[in-house]
Amino acid sequence: MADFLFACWDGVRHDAARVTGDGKVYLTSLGLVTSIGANIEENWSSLLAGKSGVRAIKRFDASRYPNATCCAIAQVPEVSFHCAHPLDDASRILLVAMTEALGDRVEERVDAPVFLGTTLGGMDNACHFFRDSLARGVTADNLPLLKDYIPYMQARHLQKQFGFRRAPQIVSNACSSSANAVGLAWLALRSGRTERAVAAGYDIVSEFVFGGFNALRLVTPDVCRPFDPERQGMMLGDGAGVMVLETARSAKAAGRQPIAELRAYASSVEAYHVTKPHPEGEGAWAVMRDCLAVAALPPEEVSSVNAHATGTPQNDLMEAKAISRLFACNPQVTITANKGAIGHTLGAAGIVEGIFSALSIRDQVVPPTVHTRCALPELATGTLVIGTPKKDRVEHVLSTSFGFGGTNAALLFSRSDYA
Amino acid sequence: MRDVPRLYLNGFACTGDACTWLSRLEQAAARPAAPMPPYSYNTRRLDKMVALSVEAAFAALARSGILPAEAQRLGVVGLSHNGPSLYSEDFIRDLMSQADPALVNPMPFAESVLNIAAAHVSLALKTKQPVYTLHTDLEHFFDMLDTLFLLTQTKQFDRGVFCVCEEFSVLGRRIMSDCSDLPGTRFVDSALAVVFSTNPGHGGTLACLEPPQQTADPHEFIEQMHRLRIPGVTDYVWSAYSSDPPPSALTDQFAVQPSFLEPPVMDQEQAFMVTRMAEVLDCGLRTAQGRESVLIQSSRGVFGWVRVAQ
Repeated sequence: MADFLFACWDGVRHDAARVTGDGKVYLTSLGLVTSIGANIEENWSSLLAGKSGVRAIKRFDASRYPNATCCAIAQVPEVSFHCAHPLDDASRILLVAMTEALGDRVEERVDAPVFLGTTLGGMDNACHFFRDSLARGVTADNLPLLKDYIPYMQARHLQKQFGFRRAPQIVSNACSSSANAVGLAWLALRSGRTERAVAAGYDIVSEFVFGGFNALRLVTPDVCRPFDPERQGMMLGDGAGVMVLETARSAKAAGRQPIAELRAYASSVEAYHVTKPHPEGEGAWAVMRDCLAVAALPPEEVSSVNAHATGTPQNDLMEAKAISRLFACNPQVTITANKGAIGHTLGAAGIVEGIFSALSIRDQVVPPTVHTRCALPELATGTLVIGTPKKDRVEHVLSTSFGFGGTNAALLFSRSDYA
Repeated sequence: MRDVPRLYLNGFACTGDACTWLSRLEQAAARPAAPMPPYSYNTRRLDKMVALSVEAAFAALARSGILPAEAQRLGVVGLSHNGPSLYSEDFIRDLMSQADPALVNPMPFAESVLNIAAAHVSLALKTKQPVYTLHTDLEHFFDMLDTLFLLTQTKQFDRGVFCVCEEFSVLGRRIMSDCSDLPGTRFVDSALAVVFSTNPGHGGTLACLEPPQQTADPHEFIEQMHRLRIPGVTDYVWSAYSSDPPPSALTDQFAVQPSFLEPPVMDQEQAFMVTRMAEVLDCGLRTAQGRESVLIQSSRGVFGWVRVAQ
């Protein structure tokens, strides 16, 4: 272990000393909405059952695309919210997830800082605005669609609905946005700035992003099969997730039992290419290594990896190489990926997959990698969980997120020793 | 001297459509020309705001005396309101006008994600330190500075580049004018890059930031900066690219004549929106509902807020 930590401490990058404070950070409440469930337990049972949220796109006309499906939420829940114009879907799922996480304890959390991650905010409304304005010009009818385009509008809705005293801090680091939002919340708690923080992430499938990934030839014509040798690409998905994080003192004072500990966070860029990951997974390996170094945990102690695994040929290959390199010493590690079930929820992916990691610790079970039939040979260590969930001793789960711009993040969740 | 965390600003640079204004201001103040940055990066195909950000970052680094090898150890924090909306619009228009989506050019899509400016700055610097892109509305600029303090206090990096950038496409103008209650305002595309450090010994210090919770509003914040004069930092380490003498005082306040603005603007209500620095920092102005503000001057240039003399 000492050799491993020494290898990590290259004098520049992450180590345990980078984070001030030594208090533990616990997840005490969660909220989740995806294509396979409208709350935490529905999502979790669907994932364990191997269900997938793939369905036809209804939010916009996708008939001209080769694959007109995605992991869309079948019926975006209605929310009670007073504003002058109809809420966009992104705002609605975010509000629903937040309602679940805060429960009836809104009052005691309004002072908590909120860290919000998103890639596209309300881009769906911008698409509707453009489609309509191209046909009819800018009118008093379509102009309000722009109201929700900029991500701070969703933040404002949150603030208005729940009475948060401080404006949410919005981080937009592409597909690692919400992992970094969770990380910022962790840093705020560890630094002693606050006793309680809320992290959230959301994104929905808009025509902009669907057309964009199709133009990049990254969307699968089939279904998403993470780490499968015959994978053909990614599938987009809707999702919103919320975590309430607290110090031990705060959780104890409120009598809350933690779901898991958020033990470490690391973030970095790989400075390789705007859209392509490093082919050997250098950035992915480095951020996972850094996260374990922050936790002072050697790779052989990690029980499970919840991989980013988008199902694209390039991403999964590089990630398999990175995992195999870091965990070569740990053949017992289990590996899972959630995007076959829920699609790639972009800015929400980090927090959604972090929630599944925490639930994995809570229930001591690793969910299956939905749609994957076998593991690609480059995944040369551990066991990719396929078909059925794997009951296991789950102590530490490493969850990874990688995004455009080479922005990478890793979160380490551990079983809570809170008594 | 209060025991509060501080960020020391080593250099800054602005790029954009209001560039002429700054040149005239610097000329009027008899300032030496900015040193040529020893950096290079191909910005030809980038969205305008992104190219401006890279250029501003290079110039700020050069003014801070940071060599390319050192730049690889810098964190990057980007901040934008609208993001790269020119490319977003290009892509949406193309997507909606093409019958076959396979014929749509993917480049503007890939280059239009909100974090693309910080991503290109990090690629240009070849840094592997953490890079964040923050987003805010017009009223919460100082909350974003708070995040900058959080990142440095928790040692995610101890030195970095803070890039504030904005551009105004048709969509952006519509959002600003129709949805943000700024009708009739003139907007310019611009970027501001500030090199910051937690170590007062890093390069020449132009100004000092304290956590925003120490201040009630931007005016108080500026007053604090004015009073501080960098306690304990009297020996300025100057850039290899500059033979400037040390500044005699940290800040000076003075009024800017409307004729300094490019193009000249006589309407006080619009003034801050046509100056790029003030524009990118306009959130502060609006928080204070200020109709006047302060330009912080040093021998290296200008940083801050603008008051328009009547």
